[in-house]
Amino acid sequence: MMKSEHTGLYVHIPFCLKKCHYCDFYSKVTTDTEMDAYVDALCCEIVSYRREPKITLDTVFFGGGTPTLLGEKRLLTILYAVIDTFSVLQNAEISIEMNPATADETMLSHLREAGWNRVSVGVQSMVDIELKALGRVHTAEDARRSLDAIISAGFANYSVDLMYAIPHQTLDSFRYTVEQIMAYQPPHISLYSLIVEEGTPFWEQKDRLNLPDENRELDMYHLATDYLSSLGYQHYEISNYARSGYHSRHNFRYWTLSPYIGVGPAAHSFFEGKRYENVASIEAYLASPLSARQIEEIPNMADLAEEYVMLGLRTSEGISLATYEQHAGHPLLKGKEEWLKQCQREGYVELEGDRLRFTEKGFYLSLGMLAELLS
Amino acid sequence: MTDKQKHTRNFSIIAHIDHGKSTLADRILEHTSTVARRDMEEQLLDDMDLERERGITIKARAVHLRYRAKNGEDYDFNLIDTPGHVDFGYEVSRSLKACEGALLVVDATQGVEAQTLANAYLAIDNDLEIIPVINKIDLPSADVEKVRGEIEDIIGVPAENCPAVSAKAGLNIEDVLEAIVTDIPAPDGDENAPLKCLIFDSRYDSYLGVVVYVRVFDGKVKAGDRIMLMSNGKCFDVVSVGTLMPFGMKEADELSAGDVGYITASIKTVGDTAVGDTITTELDGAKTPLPGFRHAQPMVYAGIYPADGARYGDLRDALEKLQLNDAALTFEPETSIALGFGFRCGFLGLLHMEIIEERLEREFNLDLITTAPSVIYKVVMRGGEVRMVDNPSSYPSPDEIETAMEPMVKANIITPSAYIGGLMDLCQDRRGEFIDMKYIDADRVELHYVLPLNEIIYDFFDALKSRSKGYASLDYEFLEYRASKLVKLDFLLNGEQVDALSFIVHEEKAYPRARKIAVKLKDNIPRQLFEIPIQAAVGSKIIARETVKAMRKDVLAKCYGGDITRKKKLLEKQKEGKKKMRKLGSVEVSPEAFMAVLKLDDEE
Repeated sequence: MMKSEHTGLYVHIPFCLKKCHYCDFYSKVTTDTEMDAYVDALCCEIVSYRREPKITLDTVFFGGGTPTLLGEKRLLTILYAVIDTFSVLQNAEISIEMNPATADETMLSHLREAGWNRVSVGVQSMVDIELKALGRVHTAEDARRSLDAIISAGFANYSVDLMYAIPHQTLDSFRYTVEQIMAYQPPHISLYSLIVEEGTPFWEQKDRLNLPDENRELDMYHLATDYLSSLGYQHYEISNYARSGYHSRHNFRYWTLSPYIGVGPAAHSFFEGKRYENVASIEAYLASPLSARQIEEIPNMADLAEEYVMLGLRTSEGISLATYEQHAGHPLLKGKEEWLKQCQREGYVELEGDRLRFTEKGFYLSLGMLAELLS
Repeated sequence: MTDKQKHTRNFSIIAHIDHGKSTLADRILEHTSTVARRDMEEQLLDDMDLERERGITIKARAVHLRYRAKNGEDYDFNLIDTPGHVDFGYEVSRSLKACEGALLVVDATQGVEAQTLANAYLAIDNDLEIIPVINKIDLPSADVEKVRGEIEDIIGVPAENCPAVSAKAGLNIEDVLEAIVTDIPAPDGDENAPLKCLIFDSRYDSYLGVVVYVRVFDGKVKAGDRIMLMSNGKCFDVVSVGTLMPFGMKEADELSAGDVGYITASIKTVGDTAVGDTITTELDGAKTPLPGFRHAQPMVYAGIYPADGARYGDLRDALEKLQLNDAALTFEPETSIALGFGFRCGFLGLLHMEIIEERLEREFNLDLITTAPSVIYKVVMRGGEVRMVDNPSSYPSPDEIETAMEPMVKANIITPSAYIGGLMDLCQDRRGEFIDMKYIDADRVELHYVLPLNEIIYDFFDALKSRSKGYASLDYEFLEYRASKLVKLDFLLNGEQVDALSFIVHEEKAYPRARKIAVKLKDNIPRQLFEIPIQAAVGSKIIARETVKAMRKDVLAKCYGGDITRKKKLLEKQKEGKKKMRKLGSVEVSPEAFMAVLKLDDEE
């Protein structure tokens, strides 16, 4: 895992057809007028990053929300602003998130021709009652059509988002979803467990959701992990699986402390050694896109060392103990030898020379182990 | 007898909890015009929040009242309030000693109860004139005649013409006041004899030092006198004397034989002014003290620890402050491997312990972890040395012990006859020795048992209440130490002994308790990264086992994109939680889980 010299750009499109019951990302239902105004504001913020020489981008990620809701014309306007402002590398990864039934083959072809080379589609489940329970607007049939369209439009690189621990979900229904999706052999899969977040409709009714219990959830995790690895996928990050060469380069920068710029409301940046957060309000953003950016934190060496562990251990490559010690000024494992040995015996952790990594089993216990390592 | 003595009446009110003692006191205050109704807060005598909430009086107080009787003469009443709970039996007896008479309040709907009886006997032992007062006659289920009969049959006090009142509704309060004048003897005592004052209470005031509440039996005392406390020989110069008014103290020229009042003398600690001690003058003082003095002895001990180790100093300050007003509370620093730094505290009984815990939490805003209460065991060692052990962790190993002894109490249980079977089973189960059983009337029974105190502090009250649907009442007093087959039960987590969980138990009880606590530990210790074996051991012998299975899931399987801060916050939260954890050996347990394990509830 190498830290990238170049910068990544995250473009936030905070619009959705309808807000899902579990979603706590910043997004809203919108109108054409607002979308037009939004594109203007966004371009304004993008252009503000013009430097001499230009900042080099090797990844661009349009996320949301549902970026494809903007329609190809607006998306192109934004992409042109990006290309105009930054120096985008020839082989840059340019991704866009979409939800089923928000883009057809024609639109996807146009996007590919314009420069996008990766699509991430939020399928979540292939069982309609589960989709309904989540408050998704699409059906399993919509998902199939979207996958067909992505392939027909010529995208060799695409990712499918799946979710487990959904209300009503059983091990069998989850297996069905995985099998349905794996029939397409997508290059990349993101697999998230449903987390009931405060402030979402699910939070209010969390005791009545009929969520799978911890053991069933774990069974689902193992089912997916075993199945995908049998098909040659690498489980390269806690929630991500890819066929060789298809890991998400953009997401990787988050885990390797590489720089990224985020534009749009509620977007985060890690740029020139500082962490920024844009104001989480479309209204405020539209009124003044250039003053949306606020410094969140200027991480010092120790902060960076901690982040390196926290994020690096999410990946199958793990971390370099020497790199940690260099930043933190002290060895990570000092005084934790006994604990580490026990973790190794239980098969949660592997230590190979300088590299420390969590195993498949360890990924699933990572939070507590991180807390132990970092306290 | 002086004219002043002829017009003085010193009395107490005694009752079972909830029979209306405080309400009656309020009405008496009101009728003697000492307090205008509008100035009265409900239940003036109980001035601690806790007392009011629980409806019990914890510390004795006294108040001076003036009453114009139907004969046209004015009388000085001194009403001395008494603590209403068995833990404070000695303090009750000293308060009663300061009086010539007592109002025995009995609830017309409940009749005589264990504490009514215990307090009545105390009053009789102190030669007090008892005036029964039947209260709550306004309630539909009141049965005044039946209760009159009970008072006469059980307590042996004539009740034919006793006042029947409703303190709450203010009915027939005059009858009570007249009975005080006519039935309670005036105090005697020689004004010119050497001074003898009985201390029946004291409290610490940050300006005045200790305010000592006294009853003068002989002689006189005034500001400037040099007084001596006869139990410890300490001498002080009297700063002021006076009477105790409902809203504070009123200075007087002197207190003389028969009076009840206060003395201040720049005394720094209530430890010097033990309840029951006699005050005399340094020169030409009394030769012998008033009889019956003893130091209040803690009966129950427990370790109290701050949930947050950093607040050890705050806990010490809080205990010191409470001790200023509570000489019966003792504490010494104690260290536990599991709980860190805390204090071994001694209490008169379980209620006293609960009160102290609650006051520490409420008034001083402390979160506490309290170990299981323990009694004091008397251990005769092989070499003949006798050790008093109040902490299981300092219990000697079995091969060093010649004889182990445990404190026994005489317990008196009053219960509706329907529950006799269940309660006898309970006492049997708690290693009780049956003494006798007396029918109070057709429906109610008095059971006498000798019980080990360590069984009583192991959730006996709750068991008693649950087996009698709340109707049985209990009273007990220390009897003696008896040899017993005691063992120390230890718990091991991950093979390491957790000192704070050890306790002393009778051999026969070791296995069932061990099982119960092992299961409780299993249920309350959250799953962790590794499997945790739980073992209960007597000496090196493991007598129960359980296992906490390893945790399977603890992960953030969600993408927050570039929002690193959010991920960090979650991690910080996890780390915070870790900090709060108590290390039990190598196992981390939250304070809540720890308390759940230590909470003794034997009845399911």
